Amino acid sequence: MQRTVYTTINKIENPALRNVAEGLARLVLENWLYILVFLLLWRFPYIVASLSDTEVTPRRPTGDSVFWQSVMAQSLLIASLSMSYNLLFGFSGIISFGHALFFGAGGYVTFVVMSQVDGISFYVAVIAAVLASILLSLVAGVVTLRLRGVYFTMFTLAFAEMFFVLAKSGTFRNITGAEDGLLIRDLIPEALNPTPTGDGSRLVMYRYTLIFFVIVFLAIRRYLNSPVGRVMLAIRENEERARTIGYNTFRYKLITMVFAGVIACLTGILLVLWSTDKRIKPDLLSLNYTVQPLLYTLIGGVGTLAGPVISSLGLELGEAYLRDETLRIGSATYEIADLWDLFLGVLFVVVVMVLPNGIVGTWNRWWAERKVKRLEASMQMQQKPPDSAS
Amino acid sequence: MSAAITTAMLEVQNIHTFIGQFHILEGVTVAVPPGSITVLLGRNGAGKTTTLRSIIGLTPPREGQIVFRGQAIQGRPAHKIAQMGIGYVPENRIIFRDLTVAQNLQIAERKKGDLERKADFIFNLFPDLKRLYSLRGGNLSGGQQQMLAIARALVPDNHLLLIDEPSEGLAPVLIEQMMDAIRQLSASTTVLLVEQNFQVASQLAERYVIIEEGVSVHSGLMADLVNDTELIKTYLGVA
Amino acid sequence: MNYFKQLSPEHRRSWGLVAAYLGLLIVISLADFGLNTAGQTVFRGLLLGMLVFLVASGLSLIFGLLDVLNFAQGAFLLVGAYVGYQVYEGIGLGAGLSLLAAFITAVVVGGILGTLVEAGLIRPLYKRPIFQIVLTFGLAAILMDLVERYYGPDPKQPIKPPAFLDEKFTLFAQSLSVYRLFIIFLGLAMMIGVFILLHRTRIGIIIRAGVQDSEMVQALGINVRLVFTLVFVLGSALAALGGIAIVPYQGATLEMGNQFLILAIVVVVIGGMGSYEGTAIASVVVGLTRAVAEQLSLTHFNAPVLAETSILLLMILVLLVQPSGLFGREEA
Repeated sequence: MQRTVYTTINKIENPALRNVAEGLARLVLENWLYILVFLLLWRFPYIVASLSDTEVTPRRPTGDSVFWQSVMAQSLLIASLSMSYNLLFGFSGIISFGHALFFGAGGYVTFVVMSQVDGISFYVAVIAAVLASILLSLVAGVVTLRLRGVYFTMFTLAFAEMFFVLAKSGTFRNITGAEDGLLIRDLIPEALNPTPTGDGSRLVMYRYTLIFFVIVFLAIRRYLNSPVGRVMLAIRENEERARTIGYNTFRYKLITMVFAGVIACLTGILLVLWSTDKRIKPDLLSLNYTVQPLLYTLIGGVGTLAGPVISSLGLELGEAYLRDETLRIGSATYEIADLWDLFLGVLFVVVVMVLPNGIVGTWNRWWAERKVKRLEASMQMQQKPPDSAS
Repeated sequence: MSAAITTAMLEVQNIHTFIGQFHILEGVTVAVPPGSITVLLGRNGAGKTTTLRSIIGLTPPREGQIVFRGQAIQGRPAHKIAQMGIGYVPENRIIFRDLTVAQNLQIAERKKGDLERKADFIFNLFPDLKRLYSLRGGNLSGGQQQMLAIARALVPDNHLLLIDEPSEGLAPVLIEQMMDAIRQLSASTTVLLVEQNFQVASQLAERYVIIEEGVSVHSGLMADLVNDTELIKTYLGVA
Repeated sequence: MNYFKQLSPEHRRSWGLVAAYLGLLIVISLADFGLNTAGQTVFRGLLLGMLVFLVASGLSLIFGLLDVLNFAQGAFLLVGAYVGYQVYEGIGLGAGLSLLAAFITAVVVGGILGTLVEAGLIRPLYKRPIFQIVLTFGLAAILMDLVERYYGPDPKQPIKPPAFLDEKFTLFAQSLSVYRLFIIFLGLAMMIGVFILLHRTRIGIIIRAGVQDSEMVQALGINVRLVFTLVFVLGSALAALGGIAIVPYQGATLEMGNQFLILAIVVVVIGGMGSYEGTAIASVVVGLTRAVAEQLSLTHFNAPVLAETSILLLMILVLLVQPSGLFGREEA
């Protein structure tokens, strides 16, 4: 298949055209799986609509397609958050337990700025949030990145937890709304409000979210293949060695932290837009949003690109699908929704103990081993024929 | 050959040891007859320390056999191996700095009263320790710490002592003392020594094994090695 | 006194620093709040310090000996609080016996939980230290989640201690429950008890030796793994004890677990990971700092939440000046 494509392309006379065609062919042939997944996700609202015989655009009562758009969009955002966490944990060996800070800061800064500064545009507020997350990453990084691993981990946890406490505190009630949070319904730009009110903006917002997810995926992939990313991988393998070679490992780790922080911040803003109650709540800064990407990263596969995505989407969609089901064991019945976190926890523990490389990592290893075996087998085959030929 | 196996206190047979992914020992064989001092010689990083650590079980060998007093001990946990009667004196005189000298010795007891029974013997070898008895280990000088590290291995009844670089970083006067002590204790205990200082090694040991890049390449009587300048030059780099 | 004579110069300096800092805190309180309020503030600080100590000592000892950062310490505290609460409510033997039963059950459950976690989950991972950290962190989240599922999200009201602990006494012109004094004594008793364990018993000497070099301890013929389990169990039981000790005067809330974990983290960072003395003294430092900051921010800014940031700032300061903490290991 590949060979036929390239031989066809080689027949093109015009060299410029041939180059373009070759590049395009390589792009498609090397990424066909990703492209296929993207197309499926793009058509996802319509696929659900036709399966469930409901409408893609929200009309009351809202149908399955509208509901699943929201679930899928939020799953994609959790997947983005997990990818940013994996960028730290998996690709850089930075174990941060304060990732929720950057995630929550996105929503908080954006909408606190909007509610405090009259007439400021949403987009300007987003820029302010991004700047804030850069600043926070820099502060956390500069204070602790030079520390031994455990100290760094403890510091990130305490640092993030402090902001959680501040967000909950009654002292700043007129700014943050304390425990009740801040109502943001009127602050969201109409074009970005996915609430089912009758027009097609939810579908548009779904597409924006998908595009954001794709950009995050590509950006991380690009980053890992960039010179900075390569040094980062070297640092993960052996920081001492990277330092002796002459790399300023501190600077690379800081850059990576800022990058992951910005992704988490933007993800947080988008997730707030999708929230049903349209409120910024302290929960956004809680440990939940550190634990979740951590679990998904480990279950999916530390240091794999697809791992966190697969586990995030699989488990988030699975939860949404099974939420209303009940489980019967003997005479007792359990709500799946009640058991889900426990299931997730047990899955996490089992994966950590049994599959240290996660699902995707284990799969990759198995696949690689199989390839090696096949190669060995075919080499043995090739060694024999010359005898018979001569 | 078979006679040697049955009479040896310790028989290390072609062991291979890995640290992480690194293949450190690639076939080390050492025979230690009872009542002798045997020394492992070789350049820095040749695998001498790893050999001792493999015997005591801190870096268990992946292949090969270690027979101690007729029993195969490779693969057993370190504390079980030690309990069979092997004392380990690590390099860099690792004593417990936060504990007093007394506690450093007490911790080595395998049964109650070990220290009481051995106290005279230990203080006879290292009179200084008696004076320093209630001092914190971290406050001792380097030489005193080395004495304590050896003394600690003498508290329980050991058949074999593994001593790693006892003379390292010590002043010449102290080295003399140390050699005296080792000579005295070898009257009752078999010793396997690692020693970089060839002067010290040649005066102390009766037998030697040379390890080169993780492989034991030569062994024999020290008396023969001292006259074999060619061999010394090739493997030890000293004339 | 022998202890002080044998201190290394760095540690002697650290003791001096701590004494000076605590003195400064007390002077500031006296100057700013007057005698009575200052006295109450110090009392509150001591109380908090003792509770934090119960969580932090486990965190520090476990890390020192096992090199495992046990983020589940906060969850153990939470489990201790809720299980103890349930026993107290369910048993109906009168306040005194019920409270005793609650304390014993909490400690036993904490200990059992610790055994299961160490033997079942931590031990197989000694070759993968990063996964140990991640596992304890994930485990904490799971345990807290289970507590919420089982006991519900609403806070539990304080339980009533028996009459002799519920009496009031007046200190610095404020009426206080004897129970608070009891907690301070309980904390002090544990502090001293564990100190004696570490310095006077064979097992304690083994633990302290293991904190420096557990391999060497093993090479002496001691089964270090067994000691690991013991210390882990001790740490979880102490945290659970802290949990139930809080219930009679503050009740039980789900946030407690993380609150005390954070405080404990600050304590071990300031005191130095693996140093028992450091943990003990840093607990007092953190408790007092927090109490004084709370009082300061209350009187001057009407913003008690600023106290939360005060201990974090203290931690950042220590991390920047002396990353290994005041009483950290010498080689660090």
